[in-house]
Amino acid sequence: MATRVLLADDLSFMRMVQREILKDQGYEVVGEASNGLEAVQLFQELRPDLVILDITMPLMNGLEATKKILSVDPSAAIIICSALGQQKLIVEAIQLGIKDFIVKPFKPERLLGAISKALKQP
Amino acid sequence: MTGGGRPDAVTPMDEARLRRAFLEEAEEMVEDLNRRLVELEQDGANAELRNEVFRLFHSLKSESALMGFTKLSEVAHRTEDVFDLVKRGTLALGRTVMDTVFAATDLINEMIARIAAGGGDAEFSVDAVIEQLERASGKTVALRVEAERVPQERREEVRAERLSVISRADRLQLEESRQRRERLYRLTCDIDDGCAMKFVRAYLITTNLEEVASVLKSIPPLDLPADGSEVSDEGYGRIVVYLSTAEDAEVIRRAADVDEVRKLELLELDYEELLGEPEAAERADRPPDAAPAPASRPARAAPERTSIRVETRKLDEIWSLVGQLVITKGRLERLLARSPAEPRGAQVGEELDSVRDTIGVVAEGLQRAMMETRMVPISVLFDKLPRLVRDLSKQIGKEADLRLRGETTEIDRSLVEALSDPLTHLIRNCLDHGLEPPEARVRAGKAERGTISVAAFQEGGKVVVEVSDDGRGLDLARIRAKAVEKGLIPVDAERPDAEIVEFIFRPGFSTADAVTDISGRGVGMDVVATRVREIMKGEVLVRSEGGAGTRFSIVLPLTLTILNTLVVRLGHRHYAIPVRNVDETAKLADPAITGSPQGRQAPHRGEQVDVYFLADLLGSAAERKDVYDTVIVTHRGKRAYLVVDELVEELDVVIKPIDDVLNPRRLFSGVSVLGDGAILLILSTTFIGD
Repeated sequence: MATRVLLADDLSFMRMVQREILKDQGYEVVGEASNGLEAVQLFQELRPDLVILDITMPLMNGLEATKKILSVDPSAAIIICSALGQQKLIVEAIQLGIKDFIVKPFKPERLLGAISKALKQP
Repeated sequence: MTGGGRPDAVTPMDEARLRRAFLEEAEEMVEDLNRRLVELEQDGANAELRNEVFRLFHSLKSESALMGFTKLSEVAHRTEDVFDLVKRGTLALGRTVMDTVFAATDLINEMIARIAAGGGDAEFSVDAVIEQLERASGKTVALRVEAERVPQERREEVRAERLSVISRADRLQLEESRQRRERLYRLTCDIDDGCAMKFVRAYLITTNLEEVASVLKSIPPLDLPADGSEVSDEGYGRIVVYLSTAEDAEVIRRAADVDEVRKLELLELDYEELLGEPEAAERADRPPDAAPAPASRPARAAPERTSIRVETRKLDEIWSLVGQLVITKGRLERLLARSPAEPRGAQVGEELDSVRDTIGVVAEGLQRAMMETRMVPISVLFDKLPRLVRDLSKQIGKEADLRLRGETTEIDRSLVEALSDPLTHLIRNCLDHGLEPPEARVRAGKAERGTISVAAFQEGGKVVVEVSDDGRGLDLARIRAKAVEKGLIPVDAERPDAEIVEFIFRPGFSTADAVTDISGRGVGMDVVATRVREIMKGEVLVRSEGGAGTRFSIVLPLTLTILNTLVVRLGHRHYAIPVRNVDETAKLADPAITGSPQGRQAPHRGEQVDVYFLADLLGSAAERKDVYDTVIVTHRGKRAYLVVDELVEELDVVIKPIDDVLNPRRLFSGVSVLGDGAILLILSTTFIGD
């Protein structure tokens, strides 16, 4: 069964890129959110195997969404996407319990590498 | 920084934290020691107690040595040696030995106190005590010299690291891990050169590791700067992590195997390589029958309780926030009560009410929960008492048994410090004045040794601490005579015994021939009363049971800072009266008031009580009405009417102390700032008079 992934990024272009990379590898993108609030809602509805969250999103940012998702399901696998220069935010996210992070702009191997390692983590 | 040289690798922040941790443990251990030693004095053959004491001195020795407090360590060491002989059965636990051990414990306590105050143990002279210990043990014990093991050559890198980077702080942690029988690993992670955020990558790795291991150290360090600045990636291409764990190597490898990690190397180490201490010698120390006791965590007989250590500063912050929440809740309630329901609409109105109720429930729940975090078992005070009674009875020359009850009763943390002196004084008073000398006791048909009982229990929102003795009780005649002498009561006055005994809480009422004081500080029963009443906002009562003894009761409120009050209005201003001083509210008809303006009275439940107009007290004109709204206030058992303009509401407030400058006639006991910024003065009911 294909791994079910939820994408969250306010830029639809970004989501498209991620979607293509993931589908190529055989992952199933089960949902897309354009803000943190939607991401949390979709997470609760769809319960994907993995969530990829952008850090800067309107309505609720990736950090807040991480908190909410982890409070719903402490074992949720979350990968944070961020731009350079957001060290503090990523560190905070790591403290919250994300599995991994990728830095934009990223190469496809980075995204896939992060996902495969993140899914292997207990 | 006093207390032995330390390598520069320990940052000032680590240093302070380390010191605090050491002090916490050391203080606990000394308290434990005092308790056990007193028990051991009564029960010298108890092998379990002997082992316990031995372990405690042993732990104190190790920990203070690690911290660099050599003198402290030496005293602990010598005392440990004495107990080693006692354990083996080659030294009897006689009076001299015990006294010497107590003296050593006191010295250790003093040194720890000095360290806690920021100093060290260097200026203490320990030779006298050590000589005493040697004499007590009957021979000179040679100082053990720790052997320096030559580290193995094949771990050249490890050795270099150990000498330059593994600091005292790390050694402490390594010791702990070793005691827990965990495996020690050195993990090297090489991060991809192309990784854009190497520091964060390294941080992720150690965060993962921390779920399955204790990360002892990482090189370079992965601490976040306190000022929130970013850490440069330079130097983070490779990190070396020392960790200890009970898990397998595979688990560690998996935790560290994150994306953008090029290479992992995991080496298992022996503790000696980092600590350089012979493990074999340590093993020989431990008594063969006992389970290995972690050097820094002595086994406690206390009930199993999972707990964590939290800085009180953090709790105080939360407590202050809870206080503000309570105030804001009150403000919300007032707002809702004031705003008309109509414009809101029925549905919004209902929701608002529901929100208000929820906030009320949550605020109250938080308040209660926070109160509980502030509560500590009174055993923290009780634990010191056996030693105190022992020392006092030697000083005073009367033997007494101490009976403690209710050690698990919880009291507010802030009261513990304040309660210590009054408690000590009451016990001293019982020993000194309450208990008769042995011959008198025997003649009176009592047991030769007196009994002092200290009991604590919760009752109706209060905590009661009772100190009683089975001695001769209070000399009422003498107290009465003194009261007459001081002009407090007329010579022929008929006063009930209950009132007479209250006089002992007045200044100058020591009826003993010699004034006794606590450690020369001149504290009398009146200071106890002031402490309890003014500072702790509690009450102290005494009951003399004739020749059967005396009983003192200290009654304390369960929490200090949030006060339940009744708010009243006078003119445009509101004032608050603590609910504990409010008996009830009543309407009072004007014709019922009799007497002159200086001494008005009115009937209340069959007796005449004083009537006070709040306006009079505050210096404004009292309005005459046909019927008055009043609050029946109480103070020390005396009741009085307090006439106000209107009763407003019940309100929880956070009290703040009021400056004396603003309070010349001591009419107020505090002030509260309401959520909307208004100031609410809290009335003190002492005006009712004694």
